[in-house]
Amino acid sequence: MFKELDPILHSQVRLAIMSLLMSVKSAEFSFLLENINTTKGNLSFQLTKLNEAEYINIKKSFKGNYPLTTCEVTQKGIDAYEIYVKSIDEYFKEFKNNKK
Amino acid sequence: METQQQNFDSFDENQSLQVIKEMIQVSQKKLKNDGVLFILWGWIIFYNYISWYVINNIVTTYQIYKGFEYFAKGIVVFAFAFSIYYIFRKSKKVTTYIGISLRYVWISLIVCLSLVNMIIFNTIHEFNPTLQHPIFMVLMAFAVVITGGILRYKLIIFGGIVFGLLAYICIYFSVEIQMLIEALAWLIAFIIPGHYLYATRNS
Repeated sequence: MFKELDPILHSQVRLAIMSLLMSVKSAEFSFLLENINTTKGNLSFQLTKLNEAEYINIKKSFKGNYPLTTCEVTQKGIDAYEIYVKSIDEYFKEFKNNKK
Repeated sequence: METQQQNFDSFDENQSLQVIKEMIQVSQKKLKNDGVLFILWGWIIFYNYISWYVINNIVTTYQIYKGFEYFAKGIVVFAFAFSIYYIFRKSKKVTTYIGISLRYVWISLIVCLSLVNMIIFNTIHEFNPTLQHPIFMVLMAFAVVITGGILRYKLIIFGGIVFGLLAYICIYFSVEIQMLIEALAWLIAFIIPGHYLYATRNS
């Protein structure tokens, strides 16, 4: 039977955030905004959701007079992402088998 | 309201695969090494070795000799300043594991070069460039091969291997010829891969 996908990750923006953060140690809010097709408000909202699920850590600091938000994926987030990708992989394998 | 809506929008497995693919492409493209520091240091050190050979083997006036010397020192200072600015500017928005690894490799190389210099001087009690030069080149070759491995770039690995072989060849020649051999090594290990990385940075 096909595993149910993690509802936290099964959202376009949150999955995009996690996919980007997986390949780096940490990234600033502006980097994520540049590369993910969404609004500032939505990105902020989705980051909070991921932070609440403890998939990412959000550090808030200041650069000069400007606030700086830096995000970093946690071990829990890495595990969840790996399970999610595995589930997707299984889904496509199952799909192929059913086609045959 | 629209932002809330987007959060609860579910999407199918094909779309999620598409998102993962797109983000991998974005990070590959955005975080790709553009070879700027390879080009910068490659040309500067290449110029320094060639000019050192020229001013020491072709009769020039004292003024020309000093002019070459100050210019060579000046561009090295410029390269250091530019490298610090460039690394800082690049790591401003994102910190990558590749960037951190490369920083460790090159900072430890500088420390190792200084230590080797001190060890040689305290062992043989003289400044011996004929010996020192190939040893420095071997350490440099080691760092270049590791860099190529971290960046998964075969041309840099190949350049590092050639650098090491040329270090061995150096021991059969005088310091003057060693300078030319090292200039060639920098051309193969830094300038050519650097320009190739730069040319393919957006591909």
